[in-house]
Amino acid sequence: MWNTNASQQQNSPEIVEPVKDSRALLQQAVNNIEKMAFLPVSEAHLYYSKIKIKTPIKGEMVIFVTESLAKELTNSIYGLTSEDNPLQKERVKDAVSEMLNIIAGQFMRTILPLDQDFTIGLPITEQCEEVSGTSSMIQRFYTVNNNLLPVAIKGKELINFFENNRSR
Amino acid sequence: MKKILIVDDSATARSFIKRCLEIVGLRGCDFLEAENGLQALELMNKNLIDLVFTDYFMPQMTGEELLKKIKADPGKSNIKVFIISSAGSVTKEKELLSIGAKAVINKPISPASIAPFIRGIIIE
Repeated sequence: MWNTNASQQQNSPEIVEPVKDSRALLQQAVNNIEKMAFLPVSEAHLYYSKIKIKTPIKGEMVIFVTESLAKELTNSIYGLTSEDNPLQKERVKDAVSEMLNIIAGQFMRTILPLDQDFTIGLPITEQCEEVSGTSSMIQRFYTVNNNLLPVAIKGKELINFFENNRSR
Repeated sequence: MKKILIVDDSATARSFIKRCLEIVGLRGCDFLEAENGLQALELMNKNLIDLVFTDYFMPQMTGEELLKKIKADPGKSNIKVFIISSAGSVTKEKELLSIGAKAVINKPISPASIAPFIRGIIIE
């Protein structure tokens, strides 16, 4: 099961002691790309969607879509232009959910025999900046020159240190 | 004017199905939308519906359950029901057709994939 840690960064107070904030530490580390390659780095805003595969095989399918791509896809599906009324967040989430629903259905049809029934759950979509896959991985997302750069931290010991540092 | 009911828990899917139907020649029909099977049955009680396009997996009531309820009601059994599903096997498709579905259409639908099923209806 994947968990998201959505939109906390935006609401957090200004960082007065950056060294104690592990998010800032990670951001600081990633910012080195800017120094190396002279390309702007920023935190990515993503839509994260998951759907359960229930039978005959258990599992889960997950997609991550940047906010800008999610909006572009939604506009395209609804036949809207970016000049139309600003998209409601719920509409974008619904469009991302429907996309994953179709992807998962098609995927299962592809891997199973034609006469094999299968069931999938209902997709759940939310906005996120970070996901933790298992207790031993956290992934945060950045954009470099508008391209997605996921950064993963792996290993229980490091994750625990990261989490403890973050909660200080 | 034909009354068409689109049933899907996703507003995106409902919108897209409607666009496809309009493109293949059902523009000008009266489109009604329901988020689930219960809402669909309520709308069917208040309106004379000609066609139903329903998703298969929905909360509260599946498309199959909705189909069974429609076909079991003498006042509604003539309504043509199309199942649009992201999770359909050949076996399930046969089963749905045997209990009265007019057609089972796999997602993602497109005007091209939906057109063959609609051709006869436009002529009617």
